[in-house]
Amino acid sequence: MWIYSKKLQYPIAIKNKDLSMAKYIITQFGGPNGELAASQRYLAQRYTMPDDQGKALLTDIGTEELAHMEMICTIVYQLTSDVSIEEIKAAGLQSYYTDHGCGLFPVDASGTPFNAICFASLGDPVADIAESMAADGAIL
Amino acid sequence: MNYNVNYFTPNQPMLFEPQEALTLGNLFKNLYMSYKGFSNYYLQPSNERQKALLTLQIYEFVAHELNLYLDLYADDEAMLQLFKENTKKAHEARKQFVEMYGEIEVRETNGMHFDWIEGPWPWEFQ
Repeated sequence: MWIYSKKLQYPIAIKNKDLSMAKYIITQFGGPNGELAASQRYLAQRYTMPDDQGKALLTDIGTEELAHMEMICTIVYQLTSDVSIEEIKAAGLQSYYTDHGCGLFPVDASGTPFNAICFASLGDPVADIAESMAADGAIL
Repeated sequence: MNYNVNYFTPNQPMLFEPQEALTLGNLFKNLYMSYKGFSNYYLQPSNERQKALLTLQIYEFVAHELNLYLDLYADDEAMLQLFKENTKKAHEARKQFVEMYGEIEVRETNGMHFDWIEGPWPWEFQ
């Protein structure tokens, strides 16, 4: 199980709204190599790890990714606070706004909704760890 | 054969100081690379609440980094000791924050009123 901590892993206090920045950053929430994918990837792959290290590490990292997802959502939320329809149109976010308002919805930078097909869970520890490393490396 | 134990050289990673570790998002000097030469923002709390929260975030981050290290090197006694020291510091920092500003986990509820539902929530500017 998980217990919620009412704090972020790292402080976030954004003073200025910035819709185009939010449009890029949201992929780190719902994109193929974002935090939602990372958390689900690790937490799915851990069950079939054959060793103590693998089970422990994927559990603890998967948990941390949930905290990262909260940080990314916080960034997007703060970047989009108090925006006008004109600003939304100017940033090219009117399609997102039509479906989601200023709500947080997991999409990538082009607006495609999150799809679990972007990660793998194969039941094979070497394949799974390799896939995890590839996804983690993709954001560096 | 246990591939996770280095029998010949003691495993002594070089570590960043706690605040620097949180700033860089990495406790381990040998695992850190700066991103394209950018320097990191130096966190400066602008009120007492932010300061208390930052102290907690720093020690919890260090403890978490050591937790991940120990997941792979569970037999490293020096790092285990460091982990215990930092979880203790995190616990103290948490106690101080909760006394002043309210619960971080709902089980810490201790007053006559259920303050848990009150903001600021983590995503709100604070």
